[in-house]
Amino acid sequence: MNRIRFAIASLVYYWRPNLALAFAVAAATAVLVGALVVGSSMRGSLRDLTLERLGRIDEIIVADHFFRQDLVAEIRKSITFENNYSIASGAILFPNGIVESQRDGDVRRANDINVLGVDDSFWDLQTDSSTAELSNAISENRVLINRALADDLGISGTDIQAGTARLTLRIPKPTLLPNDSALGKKKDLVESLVDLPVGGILGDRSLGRFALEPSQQLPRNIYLKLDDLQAALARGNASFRNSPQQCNAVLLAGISGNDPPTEQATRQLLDSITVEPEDLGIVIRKTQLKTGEGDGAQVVSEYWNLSTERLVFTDEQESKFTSALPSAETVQTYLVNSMSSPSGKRIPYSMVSAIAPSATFKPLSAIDGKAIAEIGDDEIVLNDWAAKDLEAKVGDRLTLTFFEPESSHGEQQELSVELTLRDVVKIASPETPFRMVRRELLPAVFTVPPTPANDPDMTPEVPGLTDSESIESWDLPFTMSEKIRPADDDYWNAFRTTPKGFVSLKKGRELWASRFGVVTGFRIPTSVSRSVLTEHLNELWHEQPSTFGLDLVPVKRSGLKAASGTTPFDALFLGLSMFIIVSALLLVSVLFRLGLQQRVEQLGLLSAVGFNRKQLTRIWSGELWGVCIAGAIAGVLLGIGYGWLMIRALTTWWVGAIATPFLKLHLSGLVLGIGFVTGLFVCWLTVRWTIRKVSRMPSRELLAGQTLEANAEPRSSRKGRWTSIFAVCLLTGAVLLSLFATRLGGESQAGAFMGGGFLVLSALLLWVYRRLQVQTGEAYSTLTLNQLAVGNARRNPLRSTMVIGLVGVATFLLVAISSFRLQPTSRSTGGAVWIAETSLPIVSDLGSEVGRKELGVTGISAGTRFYSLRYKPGQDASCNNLYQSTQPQVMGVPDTWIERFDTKADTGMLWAGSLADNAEDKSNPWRLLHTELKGSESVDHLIPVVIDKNTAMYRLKIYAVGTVLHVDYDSGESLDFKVVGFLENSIFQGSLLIGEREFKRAFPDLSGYQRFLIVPDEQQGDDLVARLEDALGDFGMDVQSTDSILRQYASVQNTYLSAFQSLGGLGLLLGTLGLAAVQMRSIVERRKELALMQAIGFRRGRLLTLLFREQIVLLLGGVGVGVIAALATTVPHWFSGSASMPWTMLLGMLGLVVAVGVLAALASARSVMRLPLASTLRG
Amino acid sequence: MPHLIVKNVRKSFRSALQELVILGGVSFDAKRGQSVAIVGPSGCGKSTLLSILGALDVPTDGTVELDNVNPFALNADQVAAFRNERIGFVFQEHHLLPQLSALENVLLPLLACGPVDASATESARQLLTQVGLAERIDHLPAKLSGGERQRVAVARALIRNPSLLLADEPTGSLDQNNAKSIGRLLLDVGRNGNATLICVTHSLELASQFDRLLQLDHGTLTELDPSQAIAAKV
Repeated sequence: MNRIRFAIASLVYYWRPNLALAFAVAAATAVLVGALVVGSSMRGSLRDLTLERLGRIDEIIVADHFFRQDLVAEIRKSITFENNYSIASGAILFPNGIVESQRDGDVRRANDINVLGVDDSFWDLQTDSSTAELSNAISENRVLINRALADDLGISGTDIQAGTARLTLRIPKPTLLPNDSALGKKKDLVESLVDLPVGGILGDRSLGRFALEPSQQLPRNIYLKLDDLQAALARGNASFRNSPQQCNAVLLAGISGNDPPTEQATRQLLDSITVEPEDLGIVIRKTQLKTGEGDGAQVVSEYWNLSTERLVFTDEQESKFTSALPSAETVQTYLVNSMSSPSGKRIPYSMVSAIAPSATFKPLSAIDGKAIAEIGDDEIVLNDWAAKDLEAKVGDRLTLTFFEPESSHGEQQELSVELTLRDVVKIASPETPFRMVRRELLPAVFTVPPTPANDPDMTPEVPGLTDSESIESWDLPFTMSEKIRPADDDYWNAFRTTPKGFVSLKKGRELWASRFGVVTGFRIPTSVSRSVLTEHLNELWHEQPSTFGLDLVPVKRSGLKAASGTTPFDALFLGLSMFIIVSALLLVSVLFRLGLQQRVEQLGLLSAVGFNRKQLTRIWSGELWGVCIAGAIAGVLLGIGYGWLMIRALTTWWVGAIATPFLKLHLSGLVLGIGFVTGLFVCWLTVRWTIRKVSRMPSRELLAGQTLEANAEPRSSRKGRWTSIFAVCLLTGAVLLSLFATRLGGESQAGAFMGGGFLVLSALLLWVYRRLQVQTGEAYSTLTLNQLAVGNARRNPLRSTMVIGLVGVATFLLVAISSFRLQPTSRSTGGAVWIAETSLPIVSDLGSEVGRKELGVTGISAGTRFYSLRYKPGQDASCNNLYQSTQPQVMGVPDTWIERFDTKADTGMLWAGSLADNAEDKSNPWRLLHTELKGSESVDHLIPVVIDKNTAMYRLKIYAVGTVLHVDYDSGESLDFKVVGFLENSIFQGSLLIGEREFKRAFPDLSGYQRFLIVPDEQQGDDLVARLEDALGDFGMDVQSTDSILRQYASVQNTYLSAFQSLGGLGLLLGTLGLAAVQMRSIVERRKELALMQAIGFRRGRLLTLLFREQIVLLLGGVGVGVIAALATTVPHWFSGSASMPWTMLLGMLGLVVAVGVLAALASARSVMRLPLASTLRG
Repeated sequence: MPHLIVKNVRKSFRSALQELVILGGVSFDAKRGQSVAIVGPSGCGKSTLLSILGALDVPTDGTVELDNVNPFALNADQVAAFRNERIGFVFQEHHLLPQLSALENVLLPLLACGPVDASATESARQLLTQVGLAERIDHLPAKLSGGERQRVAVARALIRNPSLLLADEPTGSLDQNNAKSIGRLLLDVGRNGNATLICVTHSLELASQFDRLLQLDHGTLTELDPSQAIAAKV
């Protein structure tokens, strides 16, 4: 015989109690494993989705402008590409298309559609071969759509076969100039591709769900043949460069399956690419001022003219060029609306250039031939044509009017400035003026040498303006109110865009600098060759690709990183499951003790025959290891089932929590192993603790069958006092933890609140234990069944306390979680009834009658307010997106919205915290968005930002106002936001809210508005939504009620809570089992006593009542303890105003707890009455 | 030379209000191979005294020496080894482990010292044969009668060849025939094994067969003549 034989014999013989114990161990392990499985499944599913939506695409070279399609072929030829990449596919991507289908006069529209212009190589990027056939269907001018879009538009396979599925696609017109710039387009911003036949529907797999932004929601895509899209764009925009063969993205696939190329390989690829200037939107032209033409032409002066298709270089580009090309001189040319002189003469629409006194080039020279060294800040130099036309003399004060370089809401403000005429420069008149031949502009021919001021190239190319035949045919974004004279046309013919005036660089910057930049060109000496210039340009681009709007985005790498999710579901479920695990451990302890009770004499015997404590523990451990291991193995299997059930629930009943049923079970050996070992370990510790306690009992007491309970009885009031002190300590700990929790956020805060509740629950249970232990000594004058029932609960205080604890935990979970349910209030909307969004930005002012007229919107009541918000597309950081949001979307809040709450505090929003330190800001924390924040050594500029608290805490991991959030956008912006306020349960979930001024500074290239808050007045008709959506359909306007948005957000949180409450249900199950087990054991132990009661005349019914009441005492004790602990836990939540207890549902749940407990009590009591008690008495 | 020396052993329990004296200074000694019966009314402290002699309980005062070893001067592990090597117990309830066979129950004390080898198993078989259970060696306790179970308990008590055999009401739950048989068995194995047998019993018939008879009453011990005791029906 040995210990193993002993353990096996004991295992087999005591299979019933061992099985019960194994069940409890299995329950604890199952809860642990289940939580871990849910977490790993969430991460695994998000990872799968990432790989699915990207197919074989690992990286994307993406541009904010078009580049040559030839670049794709050049990339393919690089050695780095050959070594690390397999596919490079040129494409045109628009993330914000609008698609309409029409059937029987009914138009169905889908907004925010991914538009993909792709060539055949695109289909090589798919991992799902089933779409191969469909790729053929894209030819012959037909388009493909994915399943999600087809469903939205109501298009079926039958429609496609019948040829009735035809679509209209609207995309933003490619514009070179920002819409908000002075010469940027304000109207006619949408390009429509009509009557596109649908060739097929792609499934929701592989490239059928291609999207750049990580989201578990299905994207809606339309796929066009690249050639077709290029041709359509070229048709719609004459200035679509010289060749329509343009792309704005290159999709790259690595050579090794799901593993993207290394960062080093990415860097090497980028470094190996050589771009042409036009790929970066840069134009390098040689400007020559010459006499004569053709072979006999004499060059007077020449330079390289570096300009940008965007009209102005960004400040960043300017700084890079200035430092890389020291010999380059900047030019700032601006279109002034008028120049007038004191004599009353006026010249309309002239170019004025800001230049520095040149060190490299021939300086401007006055009529008398003297060089003009420097132009003062308050001065202007005119060419002799303009001076003559204005009849202006040196010293005259001239007035210049011009539009502000930035417009807002499509409205342009005209400004004016007075400058003193410093000097007049001579310009030579051409022998032959400029002329347009077959849409090609032929240069003017000079016979006398042109002067440095004779330079039309100082003005950058502006499509629709510089290439126009006459001034009248200028395509300008504003009405030309100035009268064009014949003299002006003469000037245009002779000199085109030659500046009529010159100011200093400083003055030019002062007057015309904007968020888009100010420098319109660089003049570089021709001593530098073009190839060297291109090399410089490539070096600058390689150094910081985003500066030039052409960058490589490692989409798979960042997508897989984001797939780790923001919400650690395993931690979340584990945190809340902790109570259930404690319940299961209580059950382990209760069942183990019950089993041990039967064998306590055995321990006594072993001790008597010479087993020391260590040996006693060891010999018992062998058996218990077997039970625990078997239980833990069963627990792992049960946990997988539990995890599967949770995932099943999350994809069906609770799908609201994750938006789409994308979750799939993901099992990993590591996760199961961790669950197994942890479950085993905690259960083992629990039983080991009890064994240790028993092995310390005197052998004689064990031999006498002394119970653990009797041993646990305090032998002195000192021990009882310590129990009370410990309970007080727990309560103090709970209070401190709750106070601490108010300084935490997200999961930590929830964990701290729950931890506080756990401490309160523990303190209450200690108190109950102490009360059960202490004999009151009260002499009853009567004896009732209730007294007997309570007395019986006192017999085994620890056992009774554990059962109360089991029921208490279940009750606590059900009640505490209920208090976190969200109920939207009117203060969550700031008074906005509707929120509208558009796929394409609207430049005109929707809030003004004029703007609405321009947009064709009618039927809007005069009192209805529109608040237009600028919008930076980014990742949705709301609870609807489970991926990490590293580049959250941003909204620019207009001053009108901020000021709205200065006067209407009663419609203010709920704030969860702010940095307001004065009365005004406190009454309207929106004002903090205007705060000028000081940067630090590490941060140049801080942008004040307001964030919804839930978004901040759960998605962005920001837990306190004052926190600085650094975001690097793929579009190149690197920004630091300082949180100045948290909104409570607002309609602004998922976005960063910054002031409009800061928005324009942070995202200078973004123009117009895409989000609109609408506050209707009483006269506003109910047809507002229909009117807006109809009139602004081309922009993809979609209007939703703020109430429905809030309800949707609330339903996500409430769905999570429902999921967590199911854990309470599980706790209830464990509690019921504990209750039943204890009852059964107690009855077995007391069968002689019960038999005696029968013998002395107790009727069966009365005995049943007694047993039932014993159970009810424990049940109600548990419910009471759970409710008190839950209410104590939610006190801070009540104070913060966030608690909203659904009393009816809560009372229903408590009723359920009691009903289940009563049923369990009745069942176990009735089972006793079936026992042959009389024979027990005899034997 | 006495083999077992009990000197002035006191045992009392202190509650908040009073001190309950169970043993009030008990002294006696016994020689190796001697059999001693202890009789007395219920609750007089017989079992407490036996527990103290078996090092299962600690006296409030006084000393016990077995083979010149005072077990109460030893630490817990040493006491356990002391019990294992020198003392055999037979209780009123047999305290057999129901999951183990008769043979395994006998071997149980050896398991405290490590795995049990074949020679020890053979010794256990011989012991079981000696107590008349040769045919029941592999039976579980549930398959044995009350008398048989107690025989197994006796064999278990003897497996370590103890120098002190303590029996607490060994026949208390047996019928007359089994009681006689067990009594005889105890006396025989005690004498044959050269162990001191101390037995607490209510049975004067059994007590009369012992070398010495001690009566415990009100915490004090009085030596009686076994033959006179039966006549007087103590």
